Amino acid sequence: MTKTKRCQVNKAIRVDSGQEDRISQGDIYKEIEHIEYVFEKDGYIHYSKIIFPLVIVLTQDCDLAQDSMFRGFRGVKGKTQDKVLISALVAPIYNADHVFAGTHLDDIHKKHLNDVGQESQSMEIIWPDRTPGKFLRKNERCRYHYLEFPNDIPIVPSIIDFKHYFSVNIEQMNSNRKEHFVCRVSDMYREDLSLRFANFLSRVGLP
Amino acid sequence: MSKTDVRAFQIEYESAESTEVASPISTREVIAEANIEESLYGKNKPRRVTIDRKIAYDQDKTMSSE
Repeated sequence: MTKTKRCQVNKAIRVDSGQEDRISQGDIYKEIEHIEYVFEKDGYIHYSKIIFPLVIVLTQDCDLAQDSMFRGFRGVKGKTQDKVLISALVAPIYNADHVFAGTHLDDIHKKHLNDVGQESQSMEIIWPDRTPGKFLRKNERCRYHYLEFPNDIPIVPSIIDFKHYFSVNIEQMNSNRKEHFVCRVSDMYREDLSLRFANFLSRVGLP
Repeated sequence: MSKTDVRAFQIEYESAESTEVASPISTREVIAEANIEESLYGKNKPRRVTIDRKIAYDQDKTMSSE
């Protein structure tokens, strides 16, 4: 085994099969829709959505556990829905190669011509073998979280972009959970993820 | 069509359908298809879908709710 390959195996995270029958922090789901807008005009309904191939759940697991429990109390006398959530926070997971090439959002952002008449990139290129790419893979850039999956999980090396987090309706997600569920990041790795996301949200931009 | 006729038709239909599903070739095809789909996890990019659809008002429903 070469040095590079050994390094990649060591980096692989651990995942669970997700036996619990509820949404959990660290769950990875496929084909999740984000509604951009919905409005009605002149008898027509217009809506736009982005379909993300993979997302990871970032909402705290204790909140999700309580949500699941309190949701079950609906209609039960004397029980409240005090802990029911409105939505769950998720962040998209992009193919690492696409992120390095700056092409992962080519189908979302319209391309435009720059000052010299060339078609501009939708996202910046991050050279994987230079400092920015190396920093990203070591999880030293607070915006991104680099992940490699074990061999039995058919997901390519991927990058979570915390800046693109969005919310998903929990009830809808629960109703399609089995069709969309891929795997669950195991406890320690999801704690790391949670801390890094909190750090990203609370960062202070100094001049 | 009498109730007996309907039941006979159902049995005939179900048995025809089950023969088709039980074919070993189709099972292999299904597994192969699933593997292809699984191997693609994370290789696709996000995509935008925009839809403009005429609202079909249900007059009867509106009247009955009134």
